[in-house]
Amino acid sequence: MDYEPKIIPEGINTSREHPLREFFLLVGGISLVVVLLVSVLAASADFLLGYIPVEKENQWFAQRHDSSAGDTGPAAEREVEAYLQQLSNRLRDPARPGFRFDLSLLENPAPNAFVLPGGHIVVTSGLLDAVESENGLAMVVAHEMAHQYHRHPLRSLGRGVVIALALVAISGADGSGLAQQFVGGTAVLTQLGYSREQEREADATGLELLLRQYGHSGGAVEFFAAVRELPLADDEPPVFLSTHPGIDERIDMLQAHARHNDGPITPLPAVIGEYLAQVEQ
Amino acid sequence: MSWIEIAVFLVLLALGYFFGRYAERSHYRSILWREQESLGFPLLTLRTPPSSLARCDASLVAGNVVVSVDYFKRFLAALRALVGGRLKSYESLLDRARREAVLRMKEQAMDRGAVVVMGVRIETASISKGKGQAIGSIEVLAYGTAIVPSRG
Amino acid sequence: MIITNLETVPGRRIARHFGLVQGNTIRAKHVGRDIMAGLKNIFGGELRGYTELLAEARQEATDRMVAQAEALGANAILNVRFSTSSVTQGAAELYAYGTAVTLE
Repeated sequence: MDYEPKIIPEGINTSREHPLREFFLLVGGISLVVVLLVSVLAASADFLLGYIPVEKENQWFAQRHDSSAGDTGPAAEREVEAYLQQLSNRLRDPARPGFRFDLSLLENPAPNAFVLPGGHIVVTSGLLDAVESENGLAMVVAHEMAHQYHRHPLRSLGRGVVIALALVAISGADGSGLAQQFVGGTAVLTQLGYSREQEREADATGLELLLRQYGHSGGAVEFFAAVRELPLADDEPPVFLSTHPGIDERIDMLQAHARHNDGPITPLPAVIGEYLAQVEQ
Repeated sequence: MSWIEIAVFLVLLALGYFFGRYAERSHYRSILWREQESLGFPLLTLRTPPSSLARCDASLVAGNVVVSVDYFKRFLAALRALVGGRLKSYESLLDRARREAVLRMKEQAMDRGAVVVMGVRIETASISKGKGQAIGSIEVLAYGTAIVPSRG
Repeated sequence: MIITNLETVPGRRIARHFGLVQGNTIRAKHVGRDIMAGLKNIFGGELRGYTELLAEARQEATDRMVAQAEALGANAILNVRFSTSSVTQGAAELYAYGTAVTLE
């Protein structure tokens, strides 16, 4: 038998290319596509939803039961809700009619407030505890109202739906696996940028509402100052991973735009103290 | 999503990259050296023994290896699956596994005093089914018939 | 018993055919090996535990095939083939088959 031993050269079945080159090309290319796609979709959803009249939004997201009637819950809670409602009525921007605000209380020790589509603003009992004056509380309520004036809740909802659909189209519906996590993570990071932008916008408009009502911006930073003192503030995620801008940045912004910081501060009504005492029991 | 998740991901990626690359290099070095050593031993996929081997003993020899892919390569493959194209990182993995299995079979045949392995067949099977459609571990089996000259 | 994956054995003539003989086994990997495999899935590299496990299992499939051939009174199995398939998650079937014959 004739057998000729020879060595087959390397690199016929395998590639000599450095794996990191492929890695950076893929990571860069895919994240670029995802960021572009998410941005374009988000911007168009934002743009189109801005054309929906606020009356329509109020109709779609009208609450089934009228919470301001409040036949449930103790008297103090109803009184606080009525006070919050009246506070928001005072803060309203007369140049923007058609907006409806519906304030309610949530028993939760974390100081927080949020707004849902249709102008439903929820304030936690922890927030009432964290602020010291009506001005501090008004800033938070004005911030949430500003979100609604800019139609942020509806826009975020629409954006979320559109982006979720796009991600399913790109990476399959099961949502597991490394690729889906990577694409999803990139999309979330892109969206967080939007969210922070909205917060800045709401801070600025909220401050305007506060200035119109009180003539000065005293107490505007009360809430943020209180949040900064919380033990939670230490393991706050880095700004690029957060839905909100950093607390220091927000305090700086408010102080930079503030005028006549030394006006008279309105105290909180006594009923809030009664309500908080009840909650603590 | 938090710092920790991102850090874990990056650490896994780095571990996979450095360990995987080190392992691949040293494995290729070993493969090349052993192939060089056993270069004179013929492996044929032909099924008819040459007529010169008139009276010989035949026995089955096999070599197998199970390899798993590192985190870095798996991530690369997951991204590649979105855009399509050559999965370069897996090509070298399978190339290494096949050559390793063939070498093990060859070494077994040489231990038995064979002069040639006829009818070589190589089979590849993915042994971890399910788990997110990812190729987790792959077995390569090489087998053939070692032709050993009869004594006496 | 001569086992080969060729169609003939050099210098021997087939006297009688007995037809197909086969051996199979299904093995599941155990947790200890699975944990090691989980680590290897980060670092990459050979899963020695699995290599040995599958080699043992394949030997068992071969032994069963040989037992069938012996029961038929054959002294060789020709044209042996192996196949591996994963039947459920974490378990693999090893299968060996060939033609049992008597060589002169």
